[in-house]
Amino acid sequence: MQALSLRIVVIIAIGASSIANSQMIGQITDSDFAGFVLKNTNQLRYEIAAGKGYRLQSLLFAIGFDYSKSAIECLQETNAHQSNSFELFRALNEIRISEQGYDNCS
Amino acid sequence: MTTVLSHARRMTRFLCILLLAIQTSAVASNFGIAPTDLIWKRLLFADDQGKLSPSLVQTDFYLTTGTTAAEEMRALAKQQSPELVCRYPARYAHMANIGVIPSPVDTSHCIELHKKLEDLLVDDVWLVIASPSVKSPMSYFGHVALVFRRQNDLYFSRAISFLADSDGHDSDLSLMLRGATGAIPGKYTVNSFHQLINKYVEVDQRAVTAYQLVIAPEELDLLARHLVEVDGVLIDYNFFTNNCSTGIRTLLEVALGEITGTDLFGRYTSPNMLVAALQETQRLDKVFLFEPTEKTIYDEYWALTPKQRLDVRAMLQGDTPSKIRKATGNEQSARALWIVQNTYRLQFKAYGKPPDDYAAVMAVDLDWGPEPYQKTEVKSAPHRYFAVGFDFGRSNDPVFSLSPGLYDKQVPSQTGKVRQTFRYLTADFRMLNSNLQVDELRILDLEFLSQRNMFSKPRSWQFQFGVKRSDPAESLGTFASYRLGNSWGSPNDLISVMGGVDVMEHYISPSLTASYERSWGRTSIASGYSHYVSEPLNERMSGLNLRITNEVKKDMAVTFDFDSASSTSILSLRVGF
Repeated sequence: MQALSLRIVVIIAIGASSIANSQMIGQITDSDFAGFVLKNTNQLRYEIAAGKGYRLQSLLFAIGFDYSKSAIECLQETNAHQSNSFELFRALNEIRISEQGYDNCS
Repeated sequence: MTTVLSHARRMTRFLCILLLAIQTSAVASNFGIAPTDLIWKRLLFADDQGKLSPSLVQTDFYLTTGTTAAEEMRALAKQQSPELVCRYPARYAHMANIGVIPSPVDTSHCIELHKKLEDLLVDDVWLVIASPSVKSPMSYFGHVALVFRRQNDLYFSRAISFLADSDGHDSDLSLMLRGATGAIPGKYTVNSFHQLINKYVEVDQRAVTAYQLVIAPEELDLLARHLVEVDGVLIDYNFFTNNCSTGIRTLLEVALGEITGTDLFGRYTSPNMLVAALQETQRLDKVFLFEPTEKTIYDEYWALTPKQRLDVRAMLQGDTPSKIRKATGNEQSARALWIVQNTYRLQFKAYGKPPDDYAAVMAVDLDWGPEPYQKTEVKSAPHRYFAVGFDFGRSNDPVFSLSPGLYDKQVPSQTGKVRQTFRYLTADFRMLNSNLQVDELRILDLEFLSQRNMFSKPRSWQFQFGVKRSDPAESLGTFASYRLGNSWGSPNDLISVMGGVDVMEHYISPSLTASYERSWGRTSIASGYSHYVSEPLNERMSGLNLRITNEVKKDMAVTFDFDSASSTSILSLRVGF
């Protein structure tokens, strides 16, 4: 069920690529986050591996992490275990919604 | 003693009454001033006379159902309820700024308001311009947005645009017609910056330029509060009088005061005009350029050594895994792999299915190093020009050319050498028998030349419409021409072959043109050959043309033009301004 709802979010994110689809001020929606990860997967992987970059900063912000060594190591570990963009999104989204800090890193 | 106290009491009462009278008078006076208060009018989308927008009167955007900005101010000043100060935070802030209400209102109970303001009260605001594109009429003039950039979070920073409120099912034609006639509402939309970049840089392949806005904290505060007020409000949209640039200009005038200047037709605001006006008043600081992905790929490709370019070609043509292993040895090879991976992404998008070894190529990790997109832009050359010269091919007639450059753009985009040209009202004049006459007036001149290569296979096309003389002694006649074809080349070469039709006043003729351009430093040569059917002679005709240009210095060039069909040989000096 969770996988299904995630896939729906992904479909919405891809469909919502048009700039005309407006959001509210003051929120990062699920589809917004999915769109960011899925459309920037390559660069995100580079930046996570390198431990620096604007996308990495934004990713840390979106999942509620500080810009710290432990946070980056957490993401590096997560990144290493995911073989495609969808899996990477799912893993990062779990961290984002769980609010359990680094416990979900794997 | 009693008398003195009584006298003092009377004096105090008199002073209180006097102060009250002065304050009442000031408030009344401010209500009277309201029609000339630009910020108040912009806050309410009122017109220059202070009349409220009729389409908003029936909504809760206004407190009253009155018709003037002054009435709205009077009503708001009278009713300062906790609910209203949360609903109209910018209006109350401005009324306090100009002294209509004695002190700033307390909004600490407005939880939603402060949540939204957190996203907007940032250190850095960007005016973002997406370059014009000839791919769609909707994009001819470019696009403008405001980005509220958080220092530690660029990609989820909020981007505000004013757009026609379409459900996404309207065709371009329908949107154009409704937008041109004002039959469509518009609204301020909010997106994340990464969506904006994806839309323009990745999908449309258009350059995005970000100008850092010079804005004081109190100006930003008012702007942010105003954005909360307009969230979700439908406002009249019109391509000419209230387009995306007008919407952003209105927002900026709330914060910065009047932005002077207009483009064509008096009230027209374009992205270029907005940038020029803000530069004039030193409201723009640093500039950042986000180049189209294909352009970046192309630049990176040509930055490689010839051997590395061969590697890239080999990687794109097959045996990918072994080539990747070979390519990951050093930073330059990493760049080659970056090119291949991003080319694969573009091919996936373009063809709708991934190349066979997509997964294998994408699975390779590399340390790219510096951020590939962000580069500081050098100020571009002006698009307006004036040229003066002599036509030695005829009878030494002095000739002149003028391009007002209102929307004249040549922007880098797509893979390869690309010329996207938007020219309006470009005119060629000739002094004939002591009379200055127009030889040709190109009302619309659009061109999209893009090289085909291993990365992408775009088509090239040209469209011209205007009036011209087939001979200087003849009268002016309308013409239109359309050409479609392909272009190839390298950074210094451009070869184009195009077929099309020329429509003149009394006939339609097929045509075929081939051209070659090459540049060496400051010198460039362009030559072409055209074949077409001539009317009224009804003969097959050919024409050769040649242009040699030498850039003497920035914004100044000497040009020689030869055209065998019209028997002209013109030497001219062209000055940009």
